[in-house]
Amino acid sequence: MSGPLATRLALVRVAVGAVCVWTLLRQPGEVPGLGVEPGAIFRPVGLARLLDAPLPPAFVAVWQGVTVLLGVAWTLGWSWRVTAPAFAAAFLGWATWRLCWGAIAHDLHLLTLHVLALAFLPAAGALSVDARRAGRLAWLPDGAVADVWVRGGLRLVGGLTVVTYVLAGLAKVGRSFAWASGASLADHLSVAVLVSLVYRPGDGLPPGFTFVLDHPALLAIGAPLTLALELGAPLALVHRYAGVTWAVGIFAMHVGIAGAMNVVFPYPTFGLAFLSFLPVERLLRGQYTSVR
Amino acid sequence: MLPSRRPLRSAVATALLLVLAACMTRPPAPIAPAGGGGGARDRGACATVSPMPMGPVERARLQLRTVAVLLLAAVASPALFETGEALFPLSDYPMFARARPPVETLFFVEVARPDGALERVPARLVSGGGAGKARQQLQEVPRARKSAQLAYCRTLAAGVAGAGELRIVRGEFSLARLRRTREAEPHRRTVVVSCPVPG
Repeated sequence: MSGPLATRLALVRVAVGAVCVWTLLRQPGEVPGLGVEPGAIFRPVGLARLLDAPLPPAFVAVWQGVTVLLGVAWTLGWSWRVTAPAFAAAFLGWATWRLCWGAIAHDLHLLTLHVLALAFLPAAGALSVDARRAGRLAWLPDGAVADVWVRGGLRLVGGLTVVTYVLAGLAKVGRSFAWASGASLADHLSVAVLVSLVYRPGDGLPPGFTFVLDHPALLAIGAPLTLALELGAPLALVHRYAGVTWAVGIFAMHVGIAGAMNVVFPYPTFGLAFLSFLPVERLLRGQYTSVR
Repeated sequence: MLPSRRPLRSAVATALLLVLAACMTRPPAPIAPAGGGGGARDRGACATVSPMPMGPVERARLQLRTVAVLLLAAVASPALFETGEALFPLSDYPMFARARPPVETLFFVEVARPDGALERVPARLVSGGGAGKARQQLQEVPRARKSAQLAYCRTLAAGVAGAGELRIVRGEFSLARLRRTREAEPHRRTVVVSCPVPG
Protein backbone atom coordinates (compact mmCIF):
# COMPACT_ATOMS: atom_id res chain seq x y z
CA MET A 1 0.00 0.00 0.00
CA SER A 2 1.63 3.21 -1.11
CA GLY A 3 0.91 6.59 -2.65
CA PRO A 4 0.54 10.13 -1.43
CA LEU A 5 -2.93 9.68 0.00
CA ALA A 6 -1.95 6.56 1.92
CA THR A 7 0.88 8.65 3.37
CA ARG A 8 -1.60 11.38 4.30
CA LEU A 9 -3.88 8.91 6.03
CA ALA A 10 -0.86 7.51 7.86
CA LEU A 11 0.11 11.01 8.96
CA VAL A 12 -3.41 11.52 10.30
CA ARG A 13 -3.00 8.25 12.23
CA VAL A 14 0.35 9.33 13.67
CA ALA A 15 -1.00 12.75 14.67
CA VAL A 16 -4.10 11.31 16.32
CA GLY A 17 -2.08 8.66 18.15
CA ALA A 18 0.52 11.13 19.35
CA VAL A 19 -2.10 13.56 20.67
CA CYS A 20 -3.95 10.72 22.41
CA VAL A 21 -0.81 9.43 24.13
CA TRP A 22 0.17 12.94 25.14
CA THR A 23 -3.35 13.55 26.51
CA LEU A 24 -3.27 10.29 28.44
CA LEU A 25 0.09 11.04 30.01
CA ARG A 26 -0.69 14.67 30.73
CA GLN A 27 -4.07 14.32 32.40
CA PRO A 28 -4.76 11.84 35.15
CA GLY A 29 -7.68 9.55 34.40
CA GLU A 30 -8.74 9.48 37.99
CA VAL A 31 -9.75 12.46 40.04
CA PRO A 32 -7.52 13.13 43.02
CA GLY A 33 -9.76 12.97 46.05
CA LEU A 34 -12.25 15.70 46.52
CA GLY A 35 -12.36 15.61 50.27
CA VAL A 36 -15.92 16.89 50.47
CA GLU A 37 -17.56 13.64 49.43
CA PRO A 38 -15.69 11.27 47.18
CA GLY A 39 -18.61 10.60 44.88
CA ALA A 40 -20.13 14.05 45.05
CA ILE A 41 -19.23 15.23 41.57
CA PHE A 42 -19.26 11.94 39.74
CA ARG A 43 -21.61 12.81 36.86
CA PRO A 44 -21.31 9.96 34.41
CA VAL A 45 -21.62 10.61 30.70
CA GLY A 46 -21.85 8.22 27.77
CA LEU A 47 -21.32 4.57 28.56
CA ALA A 48 -20.26 5.43 32.12
CA ARG A 49 -23.92 6.07 32.89
CA LEU A 50 -24.15 2.33 33.36
CA LEU A 51 -22.01 2.74 36.50
CA ASP A 52 -23.52 3.36 39.91
CA ALA A 53 -20.27 4.54 41.47
CA PRO A 54 -16.75 5.53 40.39
CA LEU A 55 -14.40 2.73 39.42
CA PRO A 56 -11.60 1.83 41.84
CA PRO A 57 -8.54 4.08 41.27
CA ALA A 58 -6.24 1.04 40.84
CA PHE A 59 -8.42 -0.23 38.00
CA VAL A 60 -8.34 3.17 36.32
CA ALA A 61 -4.56 3.36 36.66
CA VAL A 62 -4.09 -0.05 34.99
CA TRP A 63 -6.59 0.86 32.30
CA GLN A 64 -4.72 4.08 31.62
CA GLY A 65 -1.41 2.23 31.36
CA VAL A 66 -2.82 -0.30 28.91
CA THR A 67 -4.37 2.50 26.85
CA VAL A 68 -1.02 4.28 26.64
CA LEU A 69 0.67 1.09 25.40
CA LEU A 70 -2.06 0.55 22.81
CA GLY A 71 -1.71 4.20 21.82
CA VAL A 72 2.00 3.74 21.18
CA ALA A 73 1.24 0.64 19.06
CA TRP A 74 -1.39 2.67 17.17
CA THR A 75 1.03 5.51 16.52
CA LEU A 76 3.71 3.11 15.28
CA GLY A 77 1.16 1.23 13.19
CA TRP A 78 1.90 -2.18 14.64
CA SER A 79 -0.51 -5.11 14.20
CA TRP A 80 -3.22 -2.70 13.09
CA ARG A 81 -6.07 -5.19 12.81
CA VAL A 82 -5.92 -5.78 16.54
CA THR A 83 -4.35 -2.71 18.11
CA ALA A 84 -6.55 -0.21 16.24
CA PRO A 85 -9.96 -1.43 17.48
CA ALA A 86 -8.49 -2.25 20.90
CA PHE A 87 -7.06 1.26 21.28
CA ALA A 88 -10.28 2.84 19.97
CA ALA A 89 -12.31 0.99 22.60
CA ALA A 90 -9.83 1.72 25.39
CA PHE A 91 -9.52 5.39 24.51
CA LEU A 92 -13.28 5.85 24.16
CA GLY A 93 -13.65 4.40 27.65
CA TRP A 94 -10.86 6.52 29.12
CA ALA A 95 -12.13 9.73 27.51
CA THR A 96 -15.62 8.97 28.78
CA TRP A 97 -14.22 8.42 32.26
CA ARG A 98 -12.29 11.67 32.19
CA LEU A 99 -15.45 13.64 31.40
CA CYS A 100 -17.41 12.07 34.24
CA TRP A 101 -16.15 14.63 36.75
CA GLY A 102 -18.27 17.64 36.00
CA ALA A 103 -16.07 19.67 33.68
CA ILE A 104 -17.08 19.04 30.06
CA ALA A 105 -14.35 20.47 27.89
CA HIS A 106 -14.97 19.69 24.25
CA ASP A 107 -11.36 19.01 23.39
CA LEU A 108 -11.79 15.22 23.47
CA HIS A 109 -14.86 14.87 21.29
CA LEU A 110 -13.38 15.29 17.81
CA LEU A 111 -10.21 13.44 18.78
CA THR A 112 -12.28 10.47 19.98
CA LEU A 113 -14.42 10.53 16.84
CA HIS A 114 -11.31 10.46 14.66
CA VAL A 115 -9.94 7.54 16.68
CA LEU A 116 -13.19 5.63 16.15
CA ALA A 117 -13.22 6.36 12.40
CA LEU A 118 -9.55 5.50 11.85
CA ALA A 119 -10.01 2.18 13.64
CA PHE A 120 -12.22 1.15 10.70
CA LEU A 121 -9.64 2.22 8.10
CA PRO A 122 -6.33 0.76 6.89
CA ALA A 123 -4.44 3.73 8.32
CA ALA A 124 -1.23 1.77 8.95
CA GLY A 125 -0.54 1.18 5.28
CA ALA A 126 2.39 3.59 5.28
CA LEU A 127 4.82 5.05 7.81
CA SER A 128 4.28 2.05 10.04
CA VAL A 129 5.80 -1.11 11.43
CA ASP A 130 3.19 -3.09 9.48
CA ALA A 131 4.23 -1.48 6.20
CA ARG A 132 7.87 -2.41 6.81
CA ARG A 133 7.26 -5.94 8.02
CA ALA A 134 3.79 -7.21 7.17
CA GLY A 135 2.67 -9.55 9.91
CA ARG A 136 -0.47 -11.62 10.19
CA LEU A 137 -2.26 -8.79 11.99
CA ALA A 138 -1.43 -6.07 9.47
CA TRP A 139 -4.13 -4.64 7.21
CA LEU A 140 -2.53 -3.72 3.91
CA PRO A 141 -5.05 -3.65 1.06
CA ASP A 142 -3.59 -3.10 -2.36
CA GLY A 143 -4.52 -1.62 -5.71
CA ALA A 144 -8.08 -0.44 -6.27
CA VAL A 145 -9.29 -1.65 -2.89
CA ALA A 146 -6.65 0.42 -1.11
CA ASP A 147 -7.65 3.41 -3.21
CA VAL A 148 -11.29 3.07 -2.12
CA TRP A 149 -10.37 2.84 1.56
CA VAL A 150 -7.81 5.64 1.57
CA ARG A 151 -9.79 8.20 -0.45
CA GLY A 152 -13.03 7.37 1.31
CA GLY A 153 -11.32 7.24 4.69
CA LEU A 154 -9.83 10.70 4.35
CA ARG A 155 -13.24 11.97 3.27
CA LEU A 156 -14.84 10.34 6.30
CA VAL A 157 -12.32 11.89 8.73
CA GLY A 158 -12.88 15.27 7.08
CA GLY A 159 -16.65 14.78 7.18
CA LEU A 160 -16.58 14.15 10.92
CA THR A 161 -14.55 17.32 11.44
CA VAL A 162 -17.03 19.30 9.37
CA VAL A 163 -20.08 18.00 11.24
CA THR A 164 -18.67 18.96 14.64
CA TYR A 165 -18.02 22.54 13.54
CA VAL A 166 -21.47 22.88 11.96
CA LEU A 167 -23.01 21.69 15.21
CA ALA A 168 -20.98 24.28 17.13
CA GLY A 169 -22.24 26.95 14.74
CA LEU A 170 -25.83 25.76 15.02
CA ALA A 171 -25.61 25.91 18.81
CA LYS A 172 -24.66 29.59 18.57
CA VAL A 173 -27.55 30.52 16.26
CA GLY A 174 -30.04 28.13 17.82
CA ARG A 175 -32.36 30.91 18.88
CA SER A 176 -31.19 33.91 16.88
CA PHE A 177 -28.30 35.35 14.97
CA ALA A 178 -27.53 37.83 17.80
CA TRP A 179 -24.27 35.98 18.44
CA ALA A 180 -22.95 37.49 15.22
CA SER A 181 -22.97 40.98 16.74
CA GLY A 182 -19.82 40.30 18.74
CA ALA A 183 -21.26 41.22 22.15
CA SER A 184 -21.71 37.61 23.15
CA LEU A 185 -18.19 36.79 21.96
CA ALA A 186 -16.85 39.61 24.14
CA ASP A 187 -18.57 38.09 27.17
CA HIS A 188 -17.27 34.61 26.45
CA LEU A 189 -13.81 36.00 25.91
CA SER A 190 -14.01 37.77 29.27
CA VAL A 191 -15.24 34.68 31.11
CA ALA A 192 -12.48 32.51 29.63
CA VAL A 193 -9.84 35.05 30.63
CA LEU A 194 -11.40 35.45 34.08
CA VAL A 195 -11.31 31.70 34.66
CA SER A 196 -7.73 31.57 33.46
CA LEU A 197 -6.65 34.39 35.78
CA VAL A 198 -8.47 32.98 38.80
CA TYR A 199 -7.41 29.35 38.46
CA ARG A 200 -4.03 29.77 36.79
CA PRO A 201 -2.75 32.87 38.56
CA GLY A 202 0.76 32.49 37.16
CA ASP A 203 -0.36 32.78 33.55
CA GLY A 204 -1.18 36.48 33.53
CA LEU A 205 -3.39 38.34 31.10
CA PRO A 206 -3.30 36.85 27.59
CA PRO A 207 -1.76 39.42 25.23
CA GLY A 208 -4.45 38.73 22.64
CA PHE A 209 -7.17 39.69 25.13
CA THR A 210 -5.67 43.13 25.67
CA PHE A 211 -5.26 43.55 21.92
CA VAL A 212 -8.87 42.65 21.23
CA LEU A 213 -10.13 45.00 23.94
CA ASP A 214 -8.07 47.79 22.43
CA HIS A 215 -9.44 47.01 18.96
CA PRO A 216 -13.19 46.25 19.40
CA ALA A 217 -13.65 46.08 15.62
CA LEU A 218 -11.96 42.69 15.81
CA LEU A 219 -14.94 41.34 17.73
CA ALA A 220 -17.39 42.80 15.23
CA ILE A 221 -15.48 41.03 12.45
CA GLY A 222 -14.48 37.93 14.37
CA ALA A 223 -17.96 36.86 15.48
CA PRO A 224 -19.60 36.67 12.02
CA LEU A 225 -16.39 35.21 10.59
CA THR A 226 -16.48 32.46 13.21
CA LEU A 227 -20.09 31.68 12.33
CA ALA A 228 -19.27 31.66 8.63
CA LEU A 229 -16.41 29.21 9.17
CA GLU A 230 -18.51 26.93 11.34
CA LEU A 231 -21.74 26.95 9.36
CA GLY A 232 -19.90 27.01 6.04
CA ALA A 233 -17.76 24.02 6.96
CA PRO A 234 -19.52 21.63 4.51
CA LEU A 235 -18.02 23.62 1.64
CA ALA A 236 -14.69 22.11 2.67
CA LEU A 237 -15.92 18.81 1.28
CA VAL A 238 -16.90 20.20 -2.09
CA HIS A 239 -13.46 20.91 -3.55
CA ARG A 240 -9.91 20.29 -2.38
CA TYR A 241 -8.97 23.98 -2.54
CA ALA A 242 -12.06 24.82 -0.50
CA GLY A 243 -10.93 22.18 1.98
CA VAL A 244 -7.47 23.68 2.28
CA THR A 245 -8.89 27.20 2.61
CA TRP A 246 -11.36 26.14 5.29
CA ALA A 247 -8.74 24.19 7.22
CA VAL A 248 -6.39 27.19 7.25
CA GLY A 249 -9.25 29.48 8.31
CA ILE A 250 -10.47 27.30 11.16
CA PHE A 251 -6.88 26.71 12.29
CA ALA A 252 -6.39 30.49 12.40
CA MET A 253 -9.57 30.76 14.47
CA HIS A 254 -8.16 28.34 17.05
CA VAL A 255 -4.87 30.22 17.15
CA GLY A 256 -6.86 33.39 17.78
CA ILE A 257 -8.81 31.70 20.57
CA ALA A 258 -5.55 30.55 22.16
CA GLY A 259 -4.05 34.02 21.95
CA ALA A 260 -7.07 35.89 23.25
CA MET A 261 -8.55 33.43 25.74
CA ASN A 262 -5.67 31.26 26.92
CA VAL A 263 -7.80 28.31 25.78
CA VAL A 264 -5.65 25.73 24.02
CA PHE A 265 -7.21 22.56 22.64
CA PRO A 266 -4.02 20.92 21.36
CA TYR A 267 -5.63 18.83 18.63
CA PRO A 268 -7.15 21.74 16.68
CA THR A 269 -4.91 24.54 17.98
CA PHE A 270 -1.81 22.88 16.54
CA GLY A 271 -3.67 22.18 13.30
CA LEU A 272 -3.54 18.40 13.71
CA ALA A 273 -7.32 17.98 13.48
CA PHE A 274 -7.29 19.29 9.90
CA LEU A 275 -4.52 17.20 8.35
CA SER A 276 -7.00 15.22 6.23
CA PHE A 277 -7.69 18.42 4.24
CA LEU A 278 -4.08 19.40 3.72
CA PRO A 279 -1.41 18.02 1.38
CA VAL A 280 0.81 17.19 4.32
CA GLU A 281 2.27 14.20 2.48
CA ARG A 282 4.24 16.74 0.45
CA LEU A 283 6.37 17.31 3.51
CA LEU A 284 7.60 13.73 3.19
CA ARG A 285 7.34 12.88 -0.47
CA GLY A 286 7.26 16.12 -2.39
CA GLN A 287 4.05 15.24 -4.19
CA TYR A 288 0.35 15.83 -3.86
CA THR A 289 -2.74 14.10 -5.15
CA SER A 290 -6.30 15.28 -4.80
CA VAL A 291 -8.63 13.33 -2.55
CA ARG A 292 -11.26 13.73 -5.23
CA MET B 1 -33.70 11.53 23.25
CA LEU B 2 -36.25 14.22 22.46
CA PRO B 3 -36.76 15.78 19.04
CA SER B 4 -35.06 19.16 18.82
CA ARG B 5 -37.31 22.15 19.36
CA ARG B 6 -35.09 24.35 17.22
CA PRO B 7 -36.41 24.12 13.66
CA LEU B 8 -33.53 26.08 12.12
CA ARG B 9 -30.99 23.77 13.66
CA SER B 10 -32.86 20.67 12.61
CA ALA B 11 -33.31 21.93 9.06
CA VAL B 12 -29.64 22.80 8.66
CA ALA B 13 -28.59 19.49 10.21
CA THR B 14 -30.82 17.58 7.82
CA ALA B 15 -29.39 19.48 4.87
CA LEU B 16 -25.89 18.81 6.15
CA LEU B 17 -26.58 15.11 6.41
CA LEU B 18 -27.83 15.08 2.83
CA VAL B 19 -24.69 16.88 1.64
CA LEU B 20 -22.48 14.47 3.53
CA ALA B 21 -24.37 11.45 2.28
CA ALA B 22 -23.99 12.77 -1.27
CA CYS B 23 -20.26 13.29 -0.72
CA MET B 24 -19.75 9.81 0.65
CA THR B 25 -21.87 7.97 -1.87
CA ARG B 26 -21.21 9.91 -5.07
CA PRO B 27 -19.69 8.02 -7.99
CA PRO B 28 -16.03 7.48 -7.25
CA ALA B 29 -13.15 8.49 -9.43
CA PRO B 30 -12.38 5.92 -12.12
CA ILE B 31 -10.26 3.14 -10.75
CA ALA B 32 -8.38 0.67 -12.89
CA PRO B 33 -9.79 -2.77 -12.20
CA ALA B 34 -7.40 -4.83 -10.17
CA GLY B 35 -7.75 -8.03 -8.25
CA GLY B 36 -11.22 -8.85 -9.54
CA GLY B 37 -12.62 -5.34 -8.99
CA GLY B 38 -15.40 -3.79 -11.04
CA GLY B 39 -18.60 -5.11 -9.63
CA ALA B 40 -22.26 -4.49 -10.17
CA ARG B 41 -21.91 -0.81 -11.09
CA ASP B 42 -20.31 -1.77 -14.42
CA ARG B 43 -22.89 -4.38 -15.26
CA GLY B 44 -25.85 -2.14 -15.94
CA ALA B 45 -29.43 -2.47 -14.80
CA CYS B 46 -29.38 -6.25 -14.95
CA ALA B 47 -27.28 -6.23 -11.80
CA THR B 48 -30.30 -5.10 -9.81
CA VAL B 49 -32.38 -7.96 -11.15
CA SER B 50 -29.92 -10.77 -10.69
CA PRO B 51 -27.00 -9.41 -8.66
CA MET B 52 -23.57 -10.79 -9.40
CA PRO B 53 -21.29 -11.62 -6.51
CA MET B 54 -19.53 -8.48 -5.29
CA GLY B 55 -15.88 -7.99 -6.15
CA PRO B 56 -13.42 -6.77 -3.51
CA VAL B 57 -13.67 -3.16 -4.68
CA GLU B 58 -17.44 -3.08 -4.47
CA ARG B 59 -17.30 -4.79 -1.10
CA ALA B 60 -14.80 -2.22 0.18
CA ARG B 61 -17.04 0.60 -1.05
CA LEU B 62 -20.06 -0.90 0.65
CA GLN B 63 -18.22 -1.41 3.94
CA LEU B 64 -16.79 2.11 3.91
CA ARG B 65 -20.13 3.72 3.05
CA THR B 66 -21.90 1.80 5.76
CA VAL B 67 -19.39 2.90 8.38
CA ALA B 68 -19.40 6.48 7.08
CA VAL B 69 -23.16 6.91 6.96
CA LEU B 70 -23.64 5.40 10.42
CA LEU B 71 -20.87 7.48 12.01
CA LEU B 72 -21.84 10.74 10.35
CA ALA B 73 -25.52 10.28 11.12
CA ALA B 74 -24.71 9.54 14.76
CA VAL B 75 -22.44 12.57 15.10
CA ALA B 76 -24.99 14.89 13.48
CA SER B 77 -27.90 13.50 15.50
CA PRO B 78 -27.57 15.94 18.46
CA ALA B 79 -28.82 18.66 16.12
CA LEU B 80 -31.99 16.69 15.49
CA PHE B 81 -32.47 15.27 18.98
CA GLU B 82 -31.76 16.85 22.36
CA THR B 83 -29.07 14.56 23.74
CA GLY B 84 -27.00 16.96 25.85
CA GLU B 85 -23.68 15.46 26.87
CA ALA B 86 -25.21 12.14 27.84
CA LEU B 87 -23.97 10.31 24.76
CA PHE B 88 -20.25 11.15 24.61
CA PRO B 89 -18.57 11.42 22.13
CA LEU B 90 -21.75 12.87 20.66
CA SER B 91 -22.45 16.48 21.59
CA ASP B 92 -24.23 19.57 20.35
CA TYR B 93 -21.10 21.63 21.15
CA PRO B 94 -22.67 24.36 23.27
CA MET B 95 -19.37 26.00 24.25
CA PHE B 96 -19.37 29.77 23.74
CA ALA B 97 -23.03 29.54 22.67
CA ARG B 98 -25.22 30.53 25.61
CA ALA B 99 -25.59 34.14 26.73
CA ARG B 100 -23.46 34.99 29.77
CA PRO B 101 -24.76 37.01 32.73
CA PRO B 102 -22.93 40.30 33.38
CA VAL B 103 -21.68 38.93 36.70
CA GLU B 104 -19.85 35.62 36.91
CA THR B 105 -19.67 33.70 40.17
CA LEU B 106 -16.56 31.61 40.79
CA PHE B 107 -15.37 29.69 43.82
CA PHE B 108 -11.63 29.83 44.31
CA VAL B 109 -8.96 29.07 46.88
CA GLU B 110 -6.61 31.64 48.37
CA VAL B 111 -4.06 31.80 51.15
CA ALA B 112 -3.98 34.81 53.46
CA ARG B 113 -0.38 35.29 54.58
CA PRO B 114 0.50 36.72 58.02
CA ASP B 115 1.60 39.98 56.35
CA GLY B 116 -1.89 40.38 54.86
CA ALA B 117 -0.98 39.31 51.32
CA LEU B 118 -3.53 37.16 49.46
CA GLU B 119 -2.27 34.42 47.15
CA ARG B 120 -4.52 32.46 44.82
CA VAL B 121 -3.98 28.70 44.83
CA PRO B 122 -3.66 27.32 41.26
CA ALA B 123 -6.08 24.75 39.87
CA ARG B 124 -3.54 21.94 39.70
CA LEU B 125 -3.18 22.08 43.51
CA VAL B 126 -6.94 22.14 43.96
CA SER B 127 -8.05 19.34 41.63
CA GLY B 128 -4.93 17.88 40.09
CA GLY B 129 -6.44 18.91 36.78
CA GLY B 130 -7.27 21.99 34.79
CA ALA B 131 -9.26 25.12 35.57
CA GLY B 132 -12.57 23.59 34.52
CA LYS B 133 -12.26 20.67 36.89
CA ALA B 134 -11.18 22.88 39.81
CA ARG B 135 -14.10 25.19 39.14
CA GLN B 136 -16.58 22.32 39.16
CA GLN B 137 -15.15 20.79 42.30
CA LEU B 138 -15.14 24.03 44.26
CA GLN B 139 -18.75 24.72 43.25
CA GLU B 140 -19.71 21.63 45.18
CA VAL B 141 -18.15 22.78 48.45
CA PRO B 142 -21.06 24.93 49.74
CA ARG B 143 -23.42 21.98 49.29
CA ALA B 144 -21.34 19.75 51.58
CA ARG B 145 -21.70 19.42 55.35
CA LYS B 146 -19.66 21.89 57.42
CA SER B 147 -17.42 19.12 58.77
CA ALA B 148 -16.74 17.88 55.23
CA GLN B 149 -15.96 21.42 54.09
CA LEU B 150 -13.45 21.76 56.88
CA ALA B 151 -11.87 18.40 56.09
CA TYR B 152 -11.52 19.43 52.45
CA CYS B 153 -10.03 22.77 53.48
CA ARG B 154 -7.42 20.97 55.60
CA THR B 155 -6.61 18.59 52.74
CA LEU B 156 -5.91 21.55 50.48
CA ALA B 157 -3.98 23.41 53.20
CA ALA B 158 -1.68 20.43 53.65
CA GLY B 159 -0.44 20.93 50.10
CA VAL B 160 0.41 24.62 50.57
CA ALA B 161 3.83 25.85 51.68
CA GLY B 162 4.42 28.58 54.27
CA ALA B 163 2.20 29.93 57.03
CA GLY B 164 -1.20 31.54 56.78
CA GLU B 165 -4.88 30.79 56.46
CA LEU B 166 -6.42 28.91 53.55
CA ARG B 167 -9.83 30.10 52.40
CA ILE B 168 -12.36 28.82 49.93
CA VAL B 169 -14.04 31.94 48.64
CA ARG B 170 -17.20 32.65 46.65
CA GLY B 171 -16.41 35.61 44.42
CA GLU B 172 -18.64 37.66 42.15
CA PHE B 173 -16.83 39.13 39.19
CA SER B 174 -18.20 41.82 36.90
CA LEU B 175 -17.23 41.15 33.30
CA ALA B 176 -17.45 44.85 32.46
CA ARG B 177 -15.07 45.64 35.31
CA LEU B 178 -12.64 42.98 34.13
CA ARG B 179 -12.61 44.55 30.68
CA ARG B 180 -12.10 48.01 32.18
CA THR B 181 -9.47 47.28 34.82
CA ARG B 182 -8.06 44.06 33.30
CA GLU B 183 -7.80 42.62 36.78
CA ALA B 184 -9.64 39.55 38.09
CA GLU B 185 -10.72 40.94 41.45
CA PRO B 186 -14.20 40.11 42.73
CA HIS B 187 -16.44 43.04 43.60
CA ARG B 188 -18.13 40.86 46.21
CA ARG B 189 -16.57 38.00 48.15
CA THR B 190 -17.75 35.55 50.81
CA VAL B 191 -15.50 33.13 52.66
CA VAL B 192 -17.19 29.71 52.57
CA VAL B 193 -14.71 27.95 54.83
CA SER B 194 -11.23 28.66 56.19
CA CYS B 195 -8.55 26.75 58.04
CA PRO B 196 -4.93 27.30 59.08
CA VAL B 197 -2.08 26.29 56.80
CA PRO B 198 0.10 23.87 58.81
CA GLY B 199 3.23 25.78 57.76
